[in-house]
Amino acid sequence: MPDFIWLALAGALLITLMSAPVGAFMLWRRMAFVGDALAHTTLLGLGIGLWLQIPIQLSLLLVSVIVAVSITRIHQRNNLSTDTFIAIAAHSSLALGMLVVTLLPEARIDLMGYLFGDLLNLTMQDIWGLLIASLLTLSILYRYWQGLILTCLNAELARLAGHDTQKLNLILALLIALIIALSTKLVGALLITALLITPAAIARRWSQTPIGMIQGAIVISWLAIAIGISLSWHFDLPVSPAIVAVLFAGFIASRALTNQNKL
Amino acid sequence: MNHDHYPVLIQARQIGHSFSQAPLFIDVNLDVFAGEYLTLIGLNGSGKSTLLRILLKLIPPNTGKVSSKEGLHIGYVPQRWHPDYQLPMTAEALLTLSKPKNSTNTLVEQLIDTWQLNSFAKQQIHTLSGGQWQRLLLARALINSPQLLALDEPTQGLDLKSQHDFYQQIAQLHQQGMSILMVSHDLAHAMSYSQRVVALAEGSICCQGTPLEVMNSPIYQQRFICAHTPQCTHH
Repeated sequence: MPDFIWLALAGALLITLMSAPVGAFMLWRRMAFVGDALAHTTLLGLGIGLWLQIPIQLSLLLVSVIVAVSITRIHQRNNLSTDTFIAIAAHSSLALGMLVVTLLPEARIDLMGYLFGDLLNLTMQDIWGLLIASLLTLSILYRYWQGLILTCLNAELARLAGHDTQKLNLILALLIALIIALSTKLVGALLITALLITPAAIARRWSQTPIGMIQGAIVISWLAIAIGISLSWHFDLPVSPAIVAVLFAGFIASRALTNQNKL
Repeated sequence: MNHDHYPVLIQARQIGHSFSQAPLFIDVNLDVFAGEYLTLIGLNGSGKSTLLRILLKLIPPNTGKVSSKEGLHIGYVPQRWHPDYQLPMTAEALLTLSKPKNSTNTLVEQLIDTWQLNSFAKQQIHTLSGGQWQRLLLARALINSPQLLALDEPTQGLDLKSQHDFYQQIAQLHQQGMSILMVSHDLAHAMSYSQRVVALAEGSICCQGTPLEVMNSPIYQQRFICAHTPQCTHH
Protein backbone atom coordinates (compact mmCIF):
# COMPACT_ATOMS: atom_id res chain seq x y z
CA MET A 1 0.00 0.00 0.00
CA PRO A 2 1.33 3.47 -0.81
CA ASP A 3 2.62 5.63 2.07
CA PHE A 4 -0.16 8.20 1.73
CA ILE A 5 -2.75 5.52 2.56
CA TRP A 6 -0.88 4.63 5.76
CA LEU A 7 -0.69 8.31 6.65
CA ALA A 8 -4.43 8.69 5.98
CA LEU A 9 -5.23 5.69 8.20
CA ALA A 10 -2.97 6.97 10.99
CA GLY A 11 -4.44 10.49 10.73
CA ALA A 12 -7.96 9.05 10.71
CA LEU A 13 -7.24 7.03 13.85
CA LEU A 14 -5.98 10.14 15.63
CA ILE A 15 -9.02 12.16 14.53
CA THR A 16 -11.37 9.43 15.76
CA LEU A 17 -9.64 9.42 19.17
CA MET A 18 -10.92 13.01 19.47
CA SER A 19 -14.15 12.93 17.50
CA ALA A 20 -15.61 9.75 19.04
CA PRO A 21 -15.56 10.81 22.72
CA VAL A 22 -16.46 14.43 22.01
CA GLY A 23 -19.21 13.28 19.61
CA ALA A 24 -20.60 11.01 22.34
CA PHE A 25 -20.76 13.98 24.72
CA MET A 26 -22.51 16.00 21.99
CA LEU A 27 -25.14 13.28 21.75
CA TRP A 28 -25.55 13.06 25.51
CA ARG A 29 -25.94 16.84 25.74
CA ARG A 30 -28.17 16.99 22.64
CA MET A 31 -25.66 19.29 20.95
CA ALA A 32 -25.57 17.66 17.51
CA PHE A 33 -26.36 20.96 15.77
CA VAL A 34 -23.54 22.81 17.53
CA GLY A 35 -21.04 20.74 15.55
CA ASP A 36 -22.90 21.46 12.35
CA ALA A 37 -22.98 25.20 13.08
CA LEU A 38 -19.27 25.28 13.91
CA ALA A 39 -18.47 23.44 10.70
CA HIS A 40 -20.37 26.18 8.79
CA THR A 41 -18.39 28.90 10.56
CA THR A 42 -15.11 27.47 9.30
CA LEU A 43 -15.70 29.08 5.89
CA LEU A 44 -15.62 32.46 7.63
CA GLY A 45 -12.42 31.37 9.37
CA LEU A 46 -10.99 30.42 6.01
CA GLY A 47 -11.93 33.81 4.52
CA ILE A 48 -10.52 35.75 7.47
CA GLY A 49 -7.29 33.73 7.31
CA LEU A 50 -6.86 34.55 3.63
CA TRP A 51 -7.80 38.20 4.17
CA LEU A 52 -5.44 38.79 7.12
CA GLN A 53 -2.83 36.44 5.68
CA ILE A 54 -2.49 34.44 8.86
CA PRO A 55 -2.19 30.63 9.03
CA ILE A 56 -5.53 29.12 8.01
CA GLN A 57 -5.74 26.71 10.94
CA LEU A 58 -5.19 29.59 13.37
CA SER A 59 -8.02 31.63 11.85
CA LEU A 60 -10.28 28.53 11.76
CA LEU A 61 -9.54 27.93 15.42
CA LEU A 62 -10.19 31.58 16.37
CA VAL A 63 -13.56 31.76 14.63
CA SER A 64 -14.68 28.34 15.93
CA VAL A 65 -13.68 29.26 19.49
CA ILE A 66 -15.50 32.63 19.33
CA VAL A 67 -18.69 30.97 18.06
CA ALA A 68 -18.43 28.05 20.54
CA VAL A 69 -17.93 30.41 23.49
CA SER A 70 -20.84 32.60 22.31
CA ILE A 71 -23.14 29.56 22.07
CA THR A 72 -22.17 28.51 25.61
CA ARG A 73 -22.67 32.01 27.02
CA ILE A 74 -26.06 32.44 25.36
CA HIS A 75 -27.15 29.01 26.59
CA GLN A 76 -26.16 29.97 30.16
CA ARG A 77 -27.77 33.42 30.10
CA ASN A 78 -30.88 32.06 28.49
CA ASN A 79 -31.81 35.43 27.00
CA LEU A 80 -31.99 34.09 23.46
CA SER A 81 -32.97 30.61 22.42
CA THR A 82 -29.77 28.62 21.82
CA ASP A 83 -31.03 26.93 18.68
CA THR A 84 -32.01 30.33 17.24
CA PHE A 85 -28.48 31.62 17.81
CA ILE A 86 -26.92 28.44 16.40
CA ALA A 87 -28.97 28.75 13.22
CA ILE A 88 -28.17 32.48 12.85
CA ALA A 89 -24.44 31.98 13.55
CA ALA A 90 -24.17 29.04 11.14
CA HIS A 91 -25.78 30.66 8.13
CA SER A 92 -24.46 34.18 8.72
CA SER A 93 -20.89 33.01 9.03
CA LEU A 94 -21.27 30.84 5.94
CA ALA A 95 -22.57 33.85 3.99
CA LEU A 96 -19.92 36.22 5.42
CA GLY A 97 -17.23 33.67 4.63
CA MET A 98 -18.42 33.49 1.01
CA LEU A 99 -18.46 37.32 0.79
CA VAL A 100 -14.93 37.64 2.19
CA VAL A 101 -13.64 34.97 -0.18
CA THR A 102 -15.38 36.61 -3.16
CA LEU A 103 -13.99 40.06 -2.25
CA LEU A 104 -10.45 38.73 -2.28
CA PRO A 105 -9.79 38.37 -6.01
CA GLU A 106 -6.30 36.99 -5.47
CA ALA A 107 -7.58 34.26 -3.16
CA ARG A 108 -8.30 31.00 -4.87
CA ILE A 109 -10.36 28.81 -2.61
CA ASP A 110 -11.24 25.24 -3.29
CA LEU A 111 -14.80 24.94 -1.96
CA MET A 112 -14.90 21.23 -2.70
CA GLY A 113 -11.72 20.87 -0.67
CA TYR A 114 -13.33 22.85 2.16
CA LEU A 115 -16.39 20.58 2.17
CA PHE A 116 -14.64 17.28 1.60
CA GLY A 117 -11.04 17.90 2.70
CA ASP A 118 -8.23 15.74 1.46
CA LEU A 119 -7.57 12.86 3.75
CA LEU A 120 -5.17 11.28 1.25
CA ASN A 121 -2.86 14.32 1.34
CA LEU A 122 -1.92 14.27 5.03
CA THR A 123 1.68 15.07 5.86
CA MET A 124 3.81 13.96 8.81
CA GLN A 125 3.40 17.49 10.19
CA ASP A 126 -0.40 17.00 10.17
CA ILE A 127 0.02 13.68 11.96
CA TRP A 128 2.11 15.29 14.73
CA GLY A 129 -0.46 18.07 15.10
CA LEU A 130 -3.29 15.53 15.35
CA LEU A 131 -1.32 13.44 17.85
CA ILE A 132 -0.83 16.43 20.17
CA ALA A 133 -4.49 17.51 19.81
CA SER A 134 -5.82 14.00 20.48
CA LEU A 135 -3.61 13.55 23.56
CA LEU A 136 -4.77 16.95 24.82
CA THR A 137 -8.43 16.09 24.21
CA LEU A 138 -8.21 12.70 25.91
CA SER A 139 -6.36 14.11 28.94
CA ILE A 140 -8.94 16.89 29.38
CA LEU A 141 -11.82 14.40 29.14
CA TYR A 142 -10.09 12.11 31.65
CA ARG A 143 -9.47 15.00 34.06
CA TYR A 144 -13.09 16.25 34.00
CA TRP A 145 -14.84 12.93 33.33
CA GLN A 146 -16.98 12.72 36.48
CA GLY A 147 -18.21 16.33 36.21
CA LEU A 148 -18.89 16.08 32.48
CA ILE A 149 -20.93 12.87 32.82
CA LEU A 150 -22.85 14.19 35.83
CA THR A 151 -23.60 17.40 33.90
CA CYS A 152 -25.02 15.28 31.05
CA LEU A 153 -27.23 13.52 33.58
CA ASN A 154 -28.39 16.58 35.50
CA ALA A 155 -26.59 19.92 35.80
CA GLU A 156 -27.99 20.61 39.28
CA LEU A 157 -26.67 17.32 40.63
CA ALA A 158 -23.28 18.12 39.14
CA ARG A 159 -23.27 21.61 40.69
CA LEU A 160 -24.23 20.33 44.11
CA ALA A 161 -21.46 17.72 43.86
CA GLY A 162 -19.04 20.65 43.54
CA HIS A 163 -18.51 20.74 39.77
CA ASP A 164 -18.39 24.07 37.97
CA THR A 165 -20.89 23.31 35.22
CA GLN A 166 -20.30 26.63 33.41
CA LYS A 167 -16.62 25.79 33.13
CA LEU A 168 -17.43 22.24 32.01
CA ASN A 169 -19.79 23.53 29.30
CA LEU A 170 -17.09 25.88 28.10
CA ILE A 171 -14.49 23.09 28.04
CA LEU A 172 -16.78 20.90 25.95
CA ALA A 173 -17.52 23.77 23.55
CA LEU A 174 -13.80 24.52 23.19
CA LEU A 175 -13.02 20.87 22.50
CA ILE A 176 -15.66 20.77 19.76
CA ALA A 177 -14.20 23.98 18.31
CA LEU A 178 -10.66 22.57 18.44
CA ILE A 179 -11.63 19.35 16.66
CA ILE A 180 -13.60 21.11 13.95
CA ALA A 181 -10.94 23.75 13.35
CA LEU A 182 -8.15 21.18 13.18
CA SER A 183 -9.96 18.62 11.09
CA THR A 184 -11.83 20.76 8.55
CA LYS A 185 -8.73 21.45 6.45
CA LEU A 186 -7.69 17.81 6.65
CA VAL A 187 -10.92 15.88 6.20
CA GLY A 188 -13.50 18.57 5.32
CA ALA A 189 -16.48 20.10 7.07
CA LEU A 190 -18.85 17.35 5.89
CA LEU A 191 -16.75 14.44 7.16
CA ILE A 192 -15.87 15.91 10.53
CA THR A 193 -19.48 16.60 11.50
CA ALA A 194 -20.43 13.11 10.32
CA LEU A 195 -17.55 11.64 12.33
CA LEU A 196 -18.67 13.45 15.45
CA ILE A 197 -22.28 12.30 15.48
CA THR A 198 -22.90 9.15 13.39
CA PRO A 199 -20.42 6.71 15.05
CA ALA A 200 -21.66 7.69 18.52
CA ALA A 201 -25.28 7.25 17.38
CA ILE A 202 -24.46 3.77 15.99
CA ALA A 203 -22.46 2.78 19.08
CA ARG A 204 -25.29 3.84 21.41
CA ARG A 205 -27.40 0.92 20.24
CA TRP A 206 -24.86 -1.63 21.49
CA SER A 207 -23.52 0.14 24.60
CA GLN A 208 -24.20 -0.35 28.28
CA THR A 209 -21.75 2.27 29.63
CA PRO A 210 -20.48 5.70 28.54
CA ILE A 211 -16.94 4.32 28.12
CA GLY A 212 -18.27 1.39 26.09
CA MET A 213 -20.10 3.82 23.81
CA ILE A 214 -16.94 5.86 23.24
CA GLN A 215 -14.85 2.74 22.53
CA GLY A 216 -17.53 1.51 20.13
CA ALA A 217 -17.62 4.90 18.38
CA ILE A 218 -13.81 4.84 17.92
CA VAL A 219 -13.91 1.35 16.36
CA ILE A 220 -16.89 2.23 14.13
CA SER A 221 -15.27 5.51 12.97
CA TRP A 222 -12.00 3.84 12.14
CA LEU A 223 -13.65 0.91 10.34
CA ALA A 224 -15.80 3.33 8.31
CA ILE A 225 -12.72 5.33 7.37
CA ALA A 226 -10.77 2.20 6.40
CA ILE A 227 -13.69 0.88 4.30
CA GLY A 228 -14.27 4.34 2.79
CA ILE A 229 -10.60 4.70 1.79
CA SER A 230 -10.64 1.19 0.36
CA LEU A 231 -13.78 1.93 -1.71
CA SER A 232 -12.24 5.18 -2.87
CA TRP A 233 -9.03 3.40 -3.89
CA HIS A 234 -10.74 0.60 -5.80
CA PHE A 235 -13.60 2.51 -7.42
CA ASP A 236 -11.95 5.92 -7.83
CA LEU A 237 -14.45 7.68 -5.57
CA PRO A 238 -13.94 10.86 -3.52
CA VAL A 239 -12.75 9.73 -0.07
CA SER A 240 -14.83 11.82 2.37
CA PRO A 241 -18.25 11.20 0.75
CA ALA A 242 -17.38 7.49 0.60
CA ILE A 243 -16.65 7.45 4.34
CA VAL A 244 -19.84 9.41 5.17
CA ALA A 245 -21.84 6.98 2.99
CA VAL A 246 -20.31 3.99 4.84
CA LEU A 247 -21.21 5.60 8.18
CA PHE A 248 -24.76 6.16 6.99
CA ALA A 249 -25.03 2.53 5.84
CA GLY A 250 -23.72 1.47 9.27
CA PHE A 251 -26.35 3.60 10.99
CA ILE A 252 -29.18 2.10 8.90
CA ALA A 253 -27.83 -1.44 9.49
CA SER A 254 -27.53 -0.89 13.26
CA ARG A 255 -31.07 0.44 13.34
CA ALA A 256 -32.38 -2.58 11.48
CA LEU A 257 -30.40 -5.06 13.59
CA THR A 258 -31.28 -3.63 16.99
CA ASN A 259 -34.85 -2.86 16.00
CA GLN A 260 -35.07 0.24 18.20
CA ASN A 261 -37.07 3.29 17.35
CA LYS A 262 -35.08 5.91 19.16
CA LEU A 263 -32.48 8.08 17.45
CA MET B 1 -41.09 22.90 67.86
CA ASN B 2 -38.73 25.44 69.39
CA HIS B 3 -35.55 25.61 67.32
CA ASP B 4 -33.60 28.02 69.50
CA HIS B 5 -31.18 25.33 70.65
CA TYR B 6 -30.68 23.69 67.27
CA PRO B 7 -27.80 24.78 65.02
CA VAL B 8 -28.78 26.58 61.84
CA LEU B 9 -27.77 24.69 58.68
CA ILE B 10 -28.92 27.27 56.14
CA GLN B 11 -29.80 30.90 56.73
CA ALA B 12 -31.50 33.03 54.08
CA ARG B 13 -31.96 36.76 54.62
CA GLN B 14 -34.01 39.26 52.62
CA ILE B 15 -34.13 37.03 49.57
CA GLY B 16 -35.72 38.58 46.53
CA HIS B 17 -35.97 36.97 43.14
CA SER B 18 -37.61 37.72 39.82
CA PHE B 19 -38.39 35.55 36.87
CA SER B 20 -38.38 37.28 33.47
CA GLN B 21 -38.61 40.63 35.33
CA ALA B 22 -41.77 39.58 37.18
CA PRO B 23 -41.08 39.42 40.93
CA LEU B 24 -41.41 35.87 42.25
CA PHE B 25 -40.86 36.74 45.90
CA ILE B 26 -39.48 39.60 47.96
CA ASP B 27 -37.80 39.86 51.34
CA VAL B 28 -37.95 36.18 52.29
CA ASN B 29 -36.18 35.22 55.53
CA LEU B 30 -35.82 31.56 56.38
CA ASP B 31 -33.66 29.37 58.60
CA VAL B 32 -33.24 25.63 58.15
CA PHE B 33 -32.35 23.97 61.46
CA ALA B 34 -30.42 20.77 62.10
CA GLY B 35 -32.63 17.76 62.73
CA GLU B 36 -35.91 19.27 61.53
CA TYR B 37 -38.32 18.06 58.86
CA LEU B 38 -39.25 21.20 56.97
CA THR B 39 -41.66 21.28 54.05
CA LEU B 40 -42.09 24.24 51.71
CA ILE B 41 -45.58 24.40 50.28
CA GLY B 42 -47.15 26.77 47.82
CA LEU B 43 -49.50 26.96 44.89
CA ASN B 44 -48.17 26.43 41.36
CA GLY B 45 -45.84 29.25 40.38
CA SER B 46 -45.31 30.48 43.94
CA GLY B 47 -41.57 29.96 43.57
CA LYS B 48 -41.07 27.15 46.08
CA SER B 49 -38.70 25.18 43.81
CA THR B 50 -36.78 28.36 43.00
CA LEU B 51 -36.49 29.16 46.72
CA LEU B 52 -35.14 25.65 47.34
CA ARG B 53 -32.53 26.12 44.59
CA ILE B 54 -31.56 29.46 46.12
CA LEU B 55 -31.24 27.88 49.58
CA LEU B 56 -29.01 25.18 48.07
CA LYS B 57 -26.98 27.88 46.26
CA LEU B 58 -27.76 26.33 42.88
CA ILE B 59 -28.91 29.73 41.65
CA PRO B 60 -27.97 33.12 43.08
CA PRO B 61 -30.85 35.27 44.34
CA ASN B 62 -31.36 38.72 42.79
CA THR B 63 -31.15 40.26 46.24
CA GLY B 64 -30.35 39.02 49.74
CA LYS B 65 -27.90 36.51 51.08
CA VAL B 66 -27.79 32.78 51.76
CA SER B 67 -25.23 31.29 54.11
CA SER B 68 -24.78 27.70 55.17
CA LYS B 69 -22.97 25.92 57.94
CA GLU B 70 -19.34 25.34 57.03
CA GLY B 71 -18.73 21.89 55.53
CA LEU B 72 -22.45 21.14 55.29
CA HIS B 73 -23.05 17.99 53.24
CA ILE B 74 -26.28 18.13 51.28
CA GLY B 75 -27.96 15.24 49.52
CA TYR B 76 -30.30 16.38 46.75
CA VAL B 77 -33.15 14.73 44.92
CA PRO B 78 -34.06 17.19 42.15
CA GLN B 79 -37.47 17.69 40.60
CA ARG B 80 -38.40 14.56 38.70
CA TRP B 81 -36.88 14.21 35.27
CA HIS B 82 -36.52 11.21 33.05
CA PRO B 83 -32.98 10.13 32.18
CA ASP B 84 -32.11 10.46 28.52
CA TYR B 85 -31.89 7.31 26.41
CA GLN B 86 -28.73 8.64 24.78
CA LEU B 87 -26.60 8.21 27.91
CA PRO B 88 -25.99 4.51 28.52
CA MET B 89 -25.68 3.91 32.25
CA THR B 90 -26.78 1.27 34.73
CA ALA B 91 -28.25 2.13 38.13
CA GLU B 92 -25.12 0.74 39.80
CA ALA B 93 -22.85 2.84 37.54
CA LEU B 94 -24.77 5.98 38.52
CA LEU B 95 -24.03 5.28 42.19
CA THR B 96 -20.38 4.50 41.43
CA LEU B 97 -20.07 7.77 39.51
CA SER B 98 -21.49 9.71 42.46
CA LYS B 99 -19.46 8.17 45.28
CA PRO B 100 -16.81 10.25 47.02
CA LYS B 101 -13.36 9.81 45.45
CA ASN B 102 -11.73 8.22 48.49
CA SER B 103 -14.50 5.67 49.13
CA THR B 104 -14.58 2.05 47.97
CA ASN B 105 -17.15 0.14 45.96
CA THR B 106 -18.35 -1.43 49.22
CA LEU B 107 -20.24 1.80 49.85
CA VAL B 108 -22.17 1.34 46.60
CA GLU B 109 -22.91 -2.31 47.45
CA GLN B 110 -24.15 -1.28 50.90
CA LEU B 111 -26.47 1.33 49.40
CA ILE B 112 -27.81 -1.18 46.88
CA ASP B 113 -28.59 -3.60 49.73
CA THR B 114 -30.02 -0.99 52.12
CA TRP B 115 -32.30 0.59 49.55
CA GLN B 116 -33.19 -2.73 47.89
CA LEU B 117 -31.93 -1.76 44.47
CA ASN B 118 -30.62 -5.30 43.72
CA SER B 119 -33.43 -6.19 41.33
CA PHE B 120 -32.56 -3.31 38.96
CA ALA B 121 -28.93 -2.45 39.80
CA LYS B 122 -27.70 -3.73 36.42
CA GLN B 123 -30.59 -2.18 34.49
CA GLN B 124 -30.18 0.88 32.25
CA ILE B 125 -31.44 3.97 34.05
CA HIS B 126 -33.71 5.10 31.20
CA THR B 127 -35.67 1.82 31.53
CA LEU B 128 -36.44 2.20 35.25
CA SER B 129 -39.99 2.74 36.49
CA GLY B 130 -40.84 6.01 38.26
CA GLY B 131 -40.64 4.39 41.70
CA GLN B 132 -37.33 2.62 40.96
CA TRP B 133 -35.78 5.79 39.54
CA GLN B 134 -36.84 7.84 42.57
CA ARG B 135 -35.46 5.19 44.96
CA LEU B 136 -32.17 5.23 43.04
CA LEU B 137 -31.98 9.04 43.21
CA LEU B 138 -32.64 8.90 46.93
CA ALA B 139 -29.86 6.33 47.43
CA ARG B 140 -27.55 8.50 45.30
CA ALA B 141 -28.37 11.55 47.42
CA LEU B 142 -27.34 9.65 50.54
CA ILE B 143 -23.99 8.46 49.19
CA ASN B 144 -21.93 11.19 50.87
CA SER B 145 -23.69 10.79 54.26
CA PRO B 146 -25.41 14.19 54.11
CA GLN B 147 -26.59 16.13 57.16
CA LEU B 148 -29.35 17.66 55.11
CA LEU B 149 -31.50 15.90 52.52
CA ALA B 150 -33.20 18.31 50.10
CA LEU B 151 -35.99 17.05 47.86
CA ASP B 152 -37.94 18.89 45.18
CA GLU B 153 -41.44 17.43 44.70
CA PRO B 154 -40.01 13.91 44.88
CA THR B 155 -43.29 12.03 44.56
CA GLN B 156 -44.63 13.86 41.52
CA GLY B 157 -45.98 11.31 39.07
CA LEU B 158 -45.67 8.34 41.44
CA ASP B 159 -48.63 6.09 42.21
CA LEU B 160 -50.13 6.21 45.71
CA LYS B 161 -48.29 3.14 47.02
CA SER B 162 -44.92 4.39 45.74
CA GLN B 163 -45.67 7.81 47.30
CA HIS B 164 -46.48 6.21 50.64
CA ASP B 165 -43.34 4.01 50.55
CA PHE B 166 -41.20 7.03 49.65
CA TYR B 167 -42.54 9.20 52.48
CA GLN B 168 -42.01 6.32 54.93
CA GLN B 169 -38.37 6.07 53.85
CA ILE B 170 -37.87 9.82 54.32
CA ALA B 171 -39.53 9.67 57.75
CA GLN B 172 -37.17 6.83 58.71
CA LEU B 173 -34.15 8.90 57.66
CA HIS B 174 -35.45 11.81 59.72
CA GLN B 175 -35.86 9.56 62.75
CA GLN B 176 -32.21 8.56 62.30
CA GLY B 177 -31.24 12.22 62.71
CA MET B 178 -31.14 13.54 59.16
CA SER B 179 -32.54 17.01 58.47
CA ILE B 180 -35.14 17.08 55.72
CA LEU B 181 -35.95 20.05 53.50
CA MET B 182 -38.69 19.21 51.04
CA VAL B 183 -40.69 21.10 48.47
CA SER B 184 -44.12 19.59 48.06
CA HIS B 185 -47.45 20.38 46.46
CA ASP B 186 -48.94 17.56 48.51
CA LEU B 187 -50.59 19.31 51.47
CA ALA B 188 -51.65 16.00 53.09
CA HIS B 189 -48.02 14.85 53.14
CA ALA B 190 -46.78 18.20 54.44
CA MET B 191 -49.26 18.17 57.30
CA SER B 192 -48.77 14.50 58.25
CA TYR B 193 -44.98 14.13 58.14
CA SER B 194 -43.38 17.58 58.66
CA GLN B 195 -42.38 19.22 61.91
CA ARG B 196 -42.48 22.65 60.33
CA VAL B 197 -44.38 23.89 57.29
CA VAL B 198 -43.52 27.10 55.42
CA ALA B 199 -46.23 28.30 53.06
CA LEU B 200 -45.37 30.59 50.15
CA ALA B 201 -48.03 32.71 48.52
CA GLU B 202 -48.08 35.90 46.48
CA GLY B 203 -44.39 36.60 46.72
CA SER B 204 -43.70 35.97 50.40
CA ILE B 205 -43.95 33.49 53.25
CA CYS B 206 -47.61 33.85 54.20
CA CYS B 207 -47.46 31.58 57.25
CA GLN B 208 -45.21 29.08 58.93
CA GLY B 209 -45.14 26.87 62.00
CA THR B 210 -46.10 23.35 63.00
CA PRO B 211 -48.62 21.68 60.70
CA LEU B 212 -51.37 22.38 63.25
CA GLU B 213 -50.44 26.06 63.52
CA VAL B 214 -50.38 26.43 59.75
CA MET B 215 -53.66 24.59 59.24
CA ASN B 216 -55.35 26.81 61.82
CA SER B 217 -53.93 29.98 60.37
CA PRO B 218 -56.65 32.11 58.68
CA ILE B 219 -54.17 33.21 55.99
CA TYR B 220 -53.41 29.57 55.11
CA GLN B 221 -57.10 28.74 54.96
CA GLN B 222 -57.80 31.75 52.80
CA ARG B 223 -54.94 31.19 50.36
CA PHE B 224 -54.81 27.41 50.19
CA ILE B 225 -58.28 26.15 51.00
CA CYS B 226 -60.66 28.94 49.96
CA ALA B 227 -58.91 29.37 46.62
CA HIS B 228 -60.30 25.93 45.68
CA THR B 229 -63.58 26.02 47.63
CA PRO B 230 -66.19 28.52 46.36
CA GLN B 231 -68.40 28.08 49.48
CA CYS B 232 -65.49 28.81 51.88
CA THR B 233 -66.42 31.07 54.79
CA HIS B 234 -62.93 32.44 55.57
CA HIS B 235 -63.00 35.31 53.04
